[in-house]
Amino acid sequence: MEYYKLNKSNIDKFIAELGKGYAVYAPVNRDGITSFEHLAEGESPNMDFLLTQKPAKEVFYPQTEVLLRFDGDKTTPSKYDGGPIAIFGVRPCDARGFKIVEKVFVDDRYKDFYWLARRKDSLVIAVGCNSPLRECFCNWVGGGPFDATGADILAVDIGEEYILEPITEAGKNALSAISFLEKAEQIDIDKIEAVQAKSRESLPEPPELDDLKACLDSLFDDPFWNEITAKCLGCAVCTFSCPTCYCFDIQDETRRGKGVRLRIWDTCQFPIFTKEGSGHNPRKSQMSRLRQRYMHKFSYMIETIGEFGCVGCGRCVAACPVNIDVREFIIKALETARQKGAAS
Amino acid sequence: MKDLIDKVKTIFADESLDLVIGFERGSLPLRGTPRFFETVEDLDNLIFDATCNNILAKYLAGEKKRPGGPRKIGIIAKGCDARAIAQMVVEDQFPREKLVIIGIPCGGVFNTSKIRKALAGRIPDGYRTEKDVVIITGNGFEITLPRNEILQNNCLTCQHPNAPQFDCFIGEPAEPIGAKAHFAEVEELAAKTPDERWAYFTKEYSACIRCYACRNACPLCYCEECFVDRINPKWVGKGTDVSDNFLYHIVRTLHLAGRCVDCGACAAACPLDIDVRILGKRVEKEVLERFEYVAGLDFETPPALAAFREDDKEEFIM
Amino acid sequence: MAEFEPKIVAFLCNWCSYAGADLAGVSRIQYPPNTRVIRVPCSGRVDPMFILKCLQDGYDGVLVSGCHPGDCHYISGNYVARRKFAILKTMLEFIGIEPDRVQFSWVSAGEGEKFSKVISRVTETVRALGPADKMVKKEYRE
Repeated sequence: MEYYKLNKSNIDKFIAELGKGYAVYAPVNRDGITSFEHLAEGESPNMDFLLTQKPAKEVFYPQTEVLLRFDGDKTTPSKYDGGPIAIFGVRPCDARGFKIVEKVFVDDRYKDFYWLARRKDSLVIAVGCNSPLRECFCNWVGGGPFDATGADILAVDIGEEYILEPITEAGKNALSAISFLEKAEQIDIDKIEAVQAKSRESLPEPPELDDLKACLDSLFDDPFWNEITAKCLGCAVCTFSCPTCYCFDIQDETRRGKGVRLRIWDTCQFPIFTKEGSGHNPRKSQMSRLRQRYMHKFSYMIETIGEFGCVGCGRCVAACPVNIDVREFIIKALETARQKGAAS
Repeated sequence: MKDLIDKVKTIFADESLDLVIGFERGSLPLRGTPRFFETVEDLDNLIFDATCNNILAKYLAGEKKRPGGPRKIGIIAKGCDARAIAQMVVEDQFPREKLVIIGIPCGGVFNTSKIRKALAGRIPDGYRTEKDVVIITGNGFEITLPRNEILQNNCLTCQHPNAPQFDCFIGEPAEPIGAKAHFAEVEELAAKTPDERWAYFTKEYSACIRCYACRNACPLCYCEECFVDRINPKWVGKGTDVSDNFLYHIVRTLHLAGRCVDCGACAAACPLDIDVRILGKRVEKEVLERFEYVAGLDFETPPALAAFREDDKEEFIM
Repeated sequence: MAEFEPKIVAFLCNWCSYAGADLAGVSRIQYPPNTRVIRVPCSGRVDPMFILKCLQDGYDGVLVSGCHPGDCHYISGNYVARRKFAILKTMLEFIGIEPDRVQFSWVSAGEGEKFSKVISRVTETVRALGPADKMVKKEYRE
């Protein structure tokens, strides 16, 4: 296994090299708001913070995307054609998120060509988390601060340098093509262990989630949902910040015979998400909508894709205007179900 | 805090409340969060401090739809929250007789983004206040910040830190922080050229992701169907085209003209720190100067745009 | 190069301003043809959203005209409208849109001459401002 070493002062050089074969996206800081953007020529990424406020999913899945343009009877499909994408500086939770939504956008029956146009041949360079935040809980849902799922390359910050570990064939090829990169020495590789151990120690011990789905399935009609969801405002902050939320709406916008068909992010938290043509709405209450979100992520997605629809990034926790904490919900659900189970 | 809890417990019992809407400690450092206290014992978790920025008046609107009608509710009301409550009562959104407004003095609330920027990546554990500073502590660090530098912007210009209308008031009334003149932010922007102002609003609204956190956090946005949700006619496109973003923010501000109390819930809810308040602040100034009206000060005065005077100024008419 | 011909929308209240416009026509008073008229029952019917949608759609100017205060067919529609329009005009100016693009007037049913003068004035003012550009929805147009 070949590990490489990248001195932090050479990040710009590294990105320039990557830029020869890829459109490089990396974290940027605009007035305190952090997101992934296509780096302009000579622009440096900002690696000063752990997690971007805007999720990395928007690199492959923009919020508003033109699917096709039409003019009278003539339609012109529109698709990304900016070349293969490299994302530098995602965290393991975001990288894992790509793999989860991939199961939704690409399967045996259907492929989402718009999403695939950006995703295929992409290169994901994840950076491990040396100091997890208070809102992080990746270790609850099968991830971890140095988990490599979804990454082509995993970078570990050991101080002055990153140690780069190729995870996939694509990662290996990309690194070997960058000639200025030095191979890491054993003494550097040994530092990884200590960094990872310190990080893992700072994460609280996760609860046992093996029976979370079963607990939730038994609680669908339980009144505990009213308590949990009472303060929810019903905005879209959690869903729009979430790496594994993928719902969208398709809207035509026309003006005198010409127009566009757009795909735009949608959210199960808005009332009109389930409003039917007749006017009937099966999820009239905010309780039923927030219940849907949690049931979907922690029960239904187990059925559809075999894993939780949550990577524990903590964005929903940090960004929620009323501080709804999904971890508090999980604990309460387990407690309530177990009490009910014990009583019956 | 014990004094506050004991007094509210007494009110709960004396007024036979079904519910107290107040705050408890949040799940993250330096965060408070709304809580619905249904029993006297629950109230042991009640807090009120600078982390309690949420506007509780929001939760009154949903009570109308309860089977059995609105409950008898006690609500912890800092100044802006109390004004929002009064405005909602004027607009018939909640019956006055079912409301016990528990006024509480407010010294301003934290702006989590300003704190995050000041911490520059450090992870806090907690804080304490000393006179005019806030000391934030964490693993291996302690930073001291002037209090006014980490408060919400609406707190710095707040004219009503205490509930103008209340049923009980706990504590000594607070003085306005007075860090800036009431409409200083508006005057600063008004001094720029129109093109500079347009550039400012374009920058702010280009970032908007239409999550509607601002609208949903606003106590006075209680319409069952918002104009953005109409499909026929589709007033506003549902994507993030900057022109649609402008339309959303302008029309929402128009719908709040003469009703907004500058509680700051909109700007606090925004996940991207967009200056959601500034347009409404300009309107608030105009409503005050032109119609001599301030929202939320009593339960009687009709809102400015639901009323008129025959001699209203019309200098802008051709 | 052809002179810029602005496209202007005028919301005219049925009882006063629309009748005034009709009188201008019957009297053969000449005025610029740039305005498209939308008849509304009352100036109070005009939701500020209509005005904003016109700007978004690329119209260069918008006029709203109603009965003189005190003469409203619905008694107080124009009084309420007057407050709404004052606020709208303040907002548009504050965000940096040229104030002269959106105008308001009172024109009665007998003021055919005044109507034509209002239209002429608005047309020339908007012509001088050039094509509207700021609120126009262009993102998805090629």
